[in-house]
Amino acid sequence: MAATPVAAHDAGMTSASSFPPPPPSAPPPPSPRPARTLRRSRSERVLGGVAGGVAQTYGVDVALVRIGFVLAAVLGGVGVLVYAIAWLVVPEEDTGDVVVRGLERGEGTRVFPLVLLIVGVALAVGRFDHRGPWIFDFFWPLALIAAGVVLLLARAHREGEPPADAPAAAHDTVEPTADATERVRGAPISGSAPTESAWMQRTPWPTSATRADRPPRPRPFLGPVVFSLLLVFVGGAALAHTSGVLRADPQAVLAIALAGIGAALVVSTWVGRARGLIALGLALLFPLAALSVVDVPFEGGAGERDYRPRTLADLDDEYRLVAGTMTLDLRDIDPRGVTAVEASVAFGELRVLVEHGQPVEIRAEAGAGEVEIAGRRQDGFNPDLDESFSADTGRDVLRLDLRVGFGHVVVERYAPDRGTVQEDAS
Amino acid sequence: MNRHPTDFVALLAGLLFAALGIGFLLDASDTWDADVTWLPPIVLVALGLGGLLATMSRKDNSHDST
Repeated sequence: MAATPVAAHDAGMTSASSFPPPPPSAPPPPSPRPARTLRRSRSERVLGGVAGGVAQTYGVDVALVRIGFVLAAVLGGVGVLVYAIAWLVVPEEDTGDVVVRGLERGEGTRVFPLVLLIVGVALAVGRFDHRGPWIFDFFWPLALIAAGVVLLLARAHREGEPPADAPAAAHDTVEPTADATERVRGAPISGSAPTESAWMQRTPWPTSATRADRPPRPRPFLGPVVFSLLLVFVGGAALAHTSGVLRADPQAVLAIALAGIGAALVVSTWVGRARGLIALGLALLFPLAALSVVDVPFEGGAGERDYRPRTLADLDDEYRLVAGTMTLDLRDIDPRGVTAVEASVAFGELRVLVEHGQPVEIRAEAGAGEVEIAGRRQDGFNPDLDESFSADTGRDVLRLDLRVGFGHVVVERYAPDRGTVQEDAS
Repeated sequence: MNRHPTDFVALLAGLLFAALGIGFLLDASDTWDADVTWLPPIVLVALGLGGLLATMSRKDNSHDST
């Protein structure tokens, strides 16, 4: 390519005839230090390069920025919104491309995964107050979020691979990479006045030279080894639990995994690199916190369960469900002596119906959520209610022990002629 | 694996995760009752300290190199 300096660098707005050649002997002016303006990074990129750009602009560790975005995304979804807006409006380094301009060129596929993410998070946030079984309410939001993430990762992966015809295309054009780089930084352009095709051409691999110039980093060893060991440990515990060899407490298993991550990170303080484990450890905190709140057995499967025992012989001592809705209709039960029944749902709703006039002692509690007995309510963390109802029917007492981990416990007293009855306990 | 300069961010995160893991393990065994309402502020403070440490160590490195 012939080296002909140009005076204007925005050739997309200027015709080729407006490039007067400067004096040939004039030394090039000292290039000013490029301003540290926010750009989406192409070298530090997992999704859109926003976190990498923020890290490079402000000189902080990119892992910390990513962790911040993840936490903000989980705690209310703000992180996703901020990331999405930044992805749409912040130019990409080297090329200066802005996604919203890409929309005008019909590049909707760039934004589609993001739309999935935003819709999924919005749906999830909107369902936090829902009283139903959360596992079903959150299925579609989580599915949308997962789909968006998968699409974004797939796109990021695809962008990292050169196309099959990349070498041929590079020879056919007038090196748009260097021109575009200088155009972004605002430095004077050296080289021939670019043709329209050169300026309009997308620059597919502007950072390839930059990446090649970097010294090769040693492949991490500690992080992948620890991650693999954790997979084996957690998977092995689940296998042992499923096969009945041992009864593994999920909270204990994850707690050991978290402590192992901590130990590996302490080792990596001086030897090896394992900072990726920080994100894994943060991710583990959420299920661990949830399991800590849920103090009920993980038994009984998932789904919707309706029980209506007709006689005392049909009545079980225990009713369990891991996730979903359980309805326990005890209106037909006529206890003999003190009849005790335990029922629990780890995640979801537990609804119990007793006949109005049946003497009953009820203890109901939840790790987080709401407890409601005949109109009396408590909610928040660890709500619990103890109520007893007596009647002059001469019937024996039914004793109920009801628990949910996350969700809703409701006990209703039902009279055939009045429906659900709400009255003060005795 | 060669020894490298002390990574204070990894040290802080490692100690935090180890402590939380042991805490959750004690909670699972009913030895200690964990109150998860403390978890978010602890994690946020740790993240803030990690950011400060990372920024300061980066600044020190840049001074050393000049």
